[in-house]
Amino acid sequence: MTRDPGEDAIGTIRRDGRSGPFFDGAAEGRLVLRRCEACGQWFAPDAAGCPDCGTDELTWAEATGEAVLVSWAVAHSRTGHTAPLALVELAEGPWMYARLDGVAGPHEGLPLRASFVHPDDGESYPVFKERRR
Amino acid sequence: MADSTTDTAIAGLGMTELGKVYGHSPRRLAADAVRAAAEDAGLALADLDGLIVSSGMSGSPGIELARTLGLRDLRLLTHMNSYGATAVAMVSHATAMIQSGAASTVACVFADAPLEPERNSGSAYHRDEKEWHGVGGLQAALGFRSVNAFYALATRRHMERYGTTSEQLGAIAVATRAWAQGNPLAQMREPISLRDHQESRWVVEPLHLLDCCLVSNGGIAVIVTSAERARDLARPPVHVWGWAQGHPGHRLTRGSDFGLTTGAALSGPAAMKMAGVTTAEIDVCQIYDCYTFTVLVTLEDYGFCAKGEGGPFAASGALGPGGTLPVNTGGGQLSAYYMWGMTPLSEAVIQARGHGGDRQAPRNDVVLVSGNGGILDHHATLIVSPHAKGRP
Repeated sequence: MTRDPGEDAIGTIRRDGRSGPFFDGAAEGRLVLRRCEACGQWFAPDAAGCPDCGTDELTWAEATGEAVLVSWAVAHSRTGHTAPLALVELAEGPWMYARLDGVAGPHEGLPLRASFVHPDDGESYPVFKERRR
Repeated sequence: MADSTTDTAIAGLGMTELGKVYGHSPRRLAADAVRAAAEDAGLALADLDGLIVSSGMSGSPGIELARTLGLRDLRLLTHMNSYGATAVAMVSHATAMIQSGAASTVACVFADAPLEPERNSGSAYHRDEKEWHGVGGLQAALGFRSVNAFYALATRRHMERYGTTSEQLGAIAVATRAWAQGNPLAQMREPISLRDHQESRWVVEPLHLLDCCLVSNGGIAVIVTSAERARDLARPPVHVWGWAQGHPGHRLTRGSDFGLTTGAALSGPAAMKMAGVTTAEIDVCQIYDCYTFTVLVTLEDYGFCAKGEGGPFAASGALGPGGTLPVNTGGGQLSAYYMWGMTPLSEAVIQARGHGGDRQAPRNDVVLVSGNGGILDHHATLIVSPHAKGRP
């Protein structure tokens, strides 16, 4: 669980003033998203406000961590490293840009589950693994 | 006195040296392009009463360009940005301002200089840090370090949904390069084969290197004025027949059609309606090609083929020299030069004038131009013709 799935220098992740609860959750193995209490919609962790009711007062709320694959790509660095990238649809509705870990046969709709990487230095973060029934 | 029935035309086109051109600031390149466009039209700078400026990665030039050029008593001066859709949006805005009577002769210019000597071109649009901050930083750290990654996800989604293949995208790269061979201004003129495309390195899978546009330094400007005035100027007028924008506002959430449908589906039919034409009457297309995929999905959204049929349409050979729908006749951004929306616009002007030389399309009565910005977030469409509107 503590292995860096990228095998490429991803650098060190630091929290900023708007991401504390997200990284606190990741450190504890929980996927924490933004939610609009007024209309109940969920948003990705970097959302700034609710476009439907106009509020910028989003709360942080724990998601199930379950997702399905929307699309995927593989970034190739000039040094020969690869990074499996994905756009995932979380069970609560929002899409999130993420990394896959150990997904052999990606396809649209593939069930996924968040898993967490805990590097020695810097913040923990989620990656998505195949969810087997 | 101008009114809402005033038709407009592009009367001047100015292009600096394009590509690996070093040592000039974007502001200088923009100024050179405006001067060249005015000269091309047979106008003096003092004849301009409007200037619309668009900047690229550098964020320059801004409206201070007017001072650089010594323009006085302008009635229109503004900076516009809808990324790759800006060039067409500038021509549309200039047209609306001319029709309102607010201005009569408007220069629209884009310039950028992201390339530096001794650096690879990708680095101009690529992030790399040792430390990353916040959720946005995490995204970049995980590998979303340039727009390539986002367009790769869009492309893959289309492939998964409709069966689009890398080889079909390759057909667009090959056709575009074939057109580039006839353009002396094109940066890449060596012929390529489908095999070359397939064997070019991955940038972000499913995008090969030859699916991705160039990066260029330079500046391009056009002059928009009333069709009536354009008739008395130095060059054959390129009449503006129709224009529209489309900003779908894709939300990254359940039910989104990101990667499947773009703002072209909104702006294309609207521009064609204003122009009074259908896809069957379009002779040449200049489609924003930051990637091969944007050509494919835009042609679908415009209705040149059914949704999901862009791959087979491209693979049929329709888009290249000798094909039924000449697309990106100057080599586009994939093979000629990357001046955001000014790449398709400049080639449209050249084709409508009949100045395409070895690459002139066999028919040029109706020329369509597209602009795409963001990650398929913004779109603009322009339809131009060598003939006055309504009299083809």
